[in-house]
Amino acid sequence: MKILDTIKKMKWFILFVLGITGAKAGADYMGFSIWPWQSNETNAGGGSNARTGRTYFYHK
Amino acid sequence: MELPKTLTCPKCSAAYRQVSTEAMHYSCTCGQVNRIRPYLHAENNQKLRKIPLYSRFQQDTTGRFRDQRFSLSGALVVVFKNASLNFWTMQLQDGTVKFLEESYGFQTVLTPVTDINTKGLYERLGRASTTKDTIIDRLGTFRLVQLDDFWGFDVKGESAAEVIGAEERFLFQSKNGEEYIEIWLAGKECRIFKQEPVESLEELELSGMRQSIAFNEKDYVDCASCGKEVTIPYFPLVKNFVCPHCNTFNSFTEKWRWEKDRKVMRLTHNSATKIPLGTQLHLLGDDFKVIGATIKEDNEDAQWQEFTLYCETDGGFAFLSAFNGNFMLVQETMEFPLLPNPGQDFIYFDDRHYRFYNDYTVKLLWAEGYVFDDFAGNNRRGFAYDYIAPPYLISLERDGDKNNYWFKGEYVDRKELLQQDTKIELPKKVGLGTVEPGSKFSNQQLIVAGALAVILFILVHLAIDLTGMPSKVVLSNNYSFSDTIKNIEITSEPFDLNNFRTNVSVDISSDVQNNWVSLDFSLVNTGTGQEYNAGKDLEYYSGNDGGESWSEGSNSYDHLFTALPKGKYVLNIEAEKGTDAGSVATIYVKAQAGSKRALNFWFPLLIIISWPVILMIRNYSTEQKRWA
Repeated sequence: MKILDTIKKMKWFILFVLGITGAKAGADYMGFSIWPWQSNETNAGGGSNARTGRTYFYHK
Repeated sequence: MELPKTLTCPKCSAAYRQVSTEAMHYSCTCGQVNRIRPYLHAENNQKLRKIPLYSRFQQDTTGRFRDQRFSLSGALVVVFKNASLNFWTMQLQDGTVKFLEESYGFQTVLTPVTDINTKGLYERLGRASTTKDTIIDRLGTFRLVQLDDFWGFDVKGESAAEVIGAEERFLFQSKNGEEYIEIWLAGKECRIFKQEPVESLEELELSGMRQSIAFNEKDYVDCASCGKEVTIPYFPLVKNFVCPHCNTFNSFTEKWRWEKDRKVMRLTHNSATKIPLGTQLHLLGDDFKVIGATIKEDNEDAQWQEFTLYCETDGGFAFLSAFNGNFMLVQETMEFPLLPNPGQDFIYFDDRHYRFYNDYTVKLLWAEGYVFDDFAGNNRRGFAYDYIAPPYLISLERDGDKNNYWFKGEYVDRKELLQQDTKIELPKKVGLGTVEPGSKFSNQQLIVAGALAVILFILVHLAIDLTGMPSKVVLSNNYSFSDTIKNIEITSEPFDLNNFRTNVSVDISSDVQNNWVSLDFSLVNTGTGQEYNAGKDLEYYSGNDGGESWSEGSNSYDHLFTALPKGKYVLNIEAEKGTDAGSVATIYVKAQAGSKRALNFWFPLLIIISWPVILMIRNYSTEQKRWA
């Protein structure tokens, strides 16, 4: 009963963990990143050509 | 073998068929209580009284105890000095009899213990105390927990309990704290029972129970001071009330009458929490009705309120304690730890470590409605000792060395009080509540939950890894520039990506120094012609300026093509050597299909563990504050 009560109390954490884990599984499977700040990536998910991540340095 | 007989009431001549040959008394339909053994006669014991039976059990309620079916044949209702208890006769399947002792929402099963050498026990019981050992023959060594005086009894239905002449009821706890025995003392004669607390009614698999206790709301007495009628629906469970007409505190006494104690001052100072009598509350999952209120003060002049609550869920009573806008629900418990030694700073009970918090004496300042406290001594129970394991409390009230009363408490969030159907006026919260937790969860719960969450996450990660495309290096080579070779064009061998979506990483490093290399790379699906492009200028400059060395840029770069559809691919790279004065001789290119994104592991993992970690930090800082 104590375990059931604890599970009940932690339902939001459990849902949160399942959500995050599910999102990670989905992102891994689809090849997406769940880290929101990516610069050196070219994502082919949309099927269109993409050209990203190029930085131009100032040449002295 | 003796068989149940048909008995004729000595008063009204009504016939009664006894349920069990073990029966001692039965109550006839005419109201007469008849004693069956050693011969049938109208009970004439002077302690026999008319006492209402308030219980959720009733005659013919059935259940199961220790794998044996039982039915209840009747109850012995006893009013003691400190409590009123019902002793139901349990007729077990095997023909034996036990007693279900119940009241105030808790139940224990009494099993008669025979073949005990009681020689000298009377004297030992006379010396028994809560701090000294008492040896009870083969049962072992025990310590007294409570000693109560027997004031009066009544019988409802058929009872096998023998109480005639009983004067005192002793409750003992074994030295290991796991066993309880109850002794009824009548003269020098003892009746000994093994007492087994029942954790919940579900444990007894009962059927034929009442949904709730039907108190007689019209039962009344005349106030011992003003003579006006006052209803006493909870008598004999509650034996004190404050007259609403004249504010006199009335107590029920051994003389079997209500006597005035003293006038209760009208409350002049502002009562902090305002919960009117009769208010319905839903707290910690149970339904309560407020039937009384008190204001108490400890020996350090701290004042708090205690509301007497009748629990409509289980027929018990509880107290809502309010101090500085912090709340706690407290209930007496029949399962408790061993009496702590003087100076003992923690108690381990019910899988929790309770830490000593405070000891104090209690003085009653004010009361209204129905209350358990007795004004007469104004310090009736002597010292109180609080041990806490937030949000839980275990409190011991000691009445000399003859009675220990144990209470369990739990923190009540003020939000719960504010959400009641009846609007309650609450004072501002000041400071940290005695058992206010840092969070809803203990550190142990957070560690277990966090660990389980991490294990689940890692298992999912490993499962994805195992079912995904294994990493495969599709290109790994050094390429050199020279004075004549300013541009390098690299094309990898075709490689297959077999999964629905796959990542390909391209890691490039160079010995570039004070120069740059311009890189353009494209991944081409040879089947569809679909092309994915990226570019980067690698440049690295360093030097010494005014004695300080400096550098800027980088001589390596990692790029990730993500979510590439299934197919055959080639990687094309064009590298152009820079024209600055520095050097660049080679570039190293490594391309890997099926490469994993580390942040897809670490980022969500960090988010998952952040919740238990933050709450543990909160718990820690709350405890620091509490004990500062």
